[in-house]
Amino acid sequence: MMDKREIIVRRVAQEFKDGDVVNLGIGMPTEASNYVAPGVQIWLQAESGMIGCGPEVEPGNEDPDLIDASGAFITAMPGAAFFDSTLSFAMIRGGHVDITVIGALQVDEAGNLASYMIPGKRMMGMGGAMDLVVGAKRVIIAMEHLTKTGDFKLMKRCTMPLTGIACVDLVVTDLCVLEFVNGQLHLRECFPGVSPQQVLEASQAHIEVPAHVGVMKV
Amino acid sequence: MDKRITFTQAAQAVNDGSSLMVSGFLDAGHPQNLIRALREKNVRDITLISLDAGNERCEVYYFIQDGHVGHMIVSHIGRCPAASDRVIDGSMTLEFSPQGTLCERIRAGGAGLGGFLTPSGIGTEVEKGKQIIEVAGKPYILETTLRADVAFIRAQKADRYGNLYFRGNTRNFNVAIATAADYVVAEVLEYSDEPLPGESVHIPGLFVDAIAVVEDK
Repeated sequence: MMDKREIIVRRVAQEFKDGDVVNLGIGMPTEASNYVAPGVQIWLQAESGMIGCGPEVEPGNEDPDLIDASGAFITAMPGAAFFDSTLSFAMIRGGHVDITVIGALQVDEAGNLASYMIPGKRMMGMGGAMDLVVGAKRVIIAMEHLTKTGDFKLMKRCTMPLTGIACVDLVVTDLCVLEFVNGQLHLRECFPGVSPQQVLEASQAHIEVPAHVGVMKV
Repeated sequence: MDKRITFTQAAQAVNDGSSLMVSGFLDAGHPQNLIRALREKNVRDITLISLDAGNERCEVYYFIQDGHVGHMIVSHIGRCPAASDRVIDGSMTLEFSPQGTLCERIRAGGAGLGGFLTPSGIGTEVEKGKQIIEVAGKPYILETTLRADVAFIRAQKADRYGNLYFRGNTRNFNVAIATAADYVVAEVLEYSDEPLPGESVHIPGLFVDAIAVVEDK
């Protein structure tokens, strides 16, 4: 049986089209690069100043001058390019990145995203997330549907500090796929064995349920 | 003119209360030897401007942990728990700036601009206390620029003119930072009297005041 993270990142990877420029956030989103469909080549952009990021290197072959945004030692694909942070963020803010995949603490029904700070816990900082959510053509959220303690993450209104407003396009969880259309959250697919009713019960946000809901194949 | 100095000499440029820009995305392009020399000098109350707070592979991680920093302007400190702890215990203050905004504030500071407009952070805590300006119906935050007394950067190669060449994805904040401080020191792994090919110069020597060559690589 697949774990929740694998379900989520396998489904996220289906969104990648051949030639897409994709920026993957630290943590779970990074794993989506392991499940890109055969025949699809994506260009992984790292805000650290690289496009054409390859897989992590085998231990012993680390190059200290080649790391991804989470600090892992990686390889460069043929055609890779290096640049400084100002050009990297010109790509990001300027609409040159097709898809960004980001983890979330909360997403609300207005498409607002909270992802970088849990009040009262150790501070992390937003890194490049605020630039990515305003600039990428599509913002895909990869997150478990509920918190580890069973609390809602799909909210009426985010209660944690926001990363961006009205910025989310697609939400992929272990239960379902949700899409924002004209500022409203629509249920697109349910994981096999999960009913729309179960999704609604696991969400505080208002969700539109169309007559036909697809099956989430992973 | 020979721009070479020792790491100890470089550390003399930073004093209690100085503002200091430090390059690096975690350890990639991070001036480990310059910060190590500065840790030995034991300065206090530094205003540190950097992309992140480093991880356990970075000298800046220990520079923060040991309490040399009074104020920090940064985009991410997730790999340096001591940075958060120091803010919570009151021994350091901190301003978060989104990463793209932070490097543009430095770039603008080095490029003679008065500020710039960005959509990053609209509707978030980042916009608090800042002017919002609408252009063609879209709101932007007016962000101000950053400069520092001293910048510490790190390149692969330097020539006698201070021209710098970078390997892999180590350029990150190095390029912007090199333009935005009164005194810029580059730590380099290789030094050559012969000039670098002009096409391979990522930072022209006019931005580089001094070079410290890493002997023990």
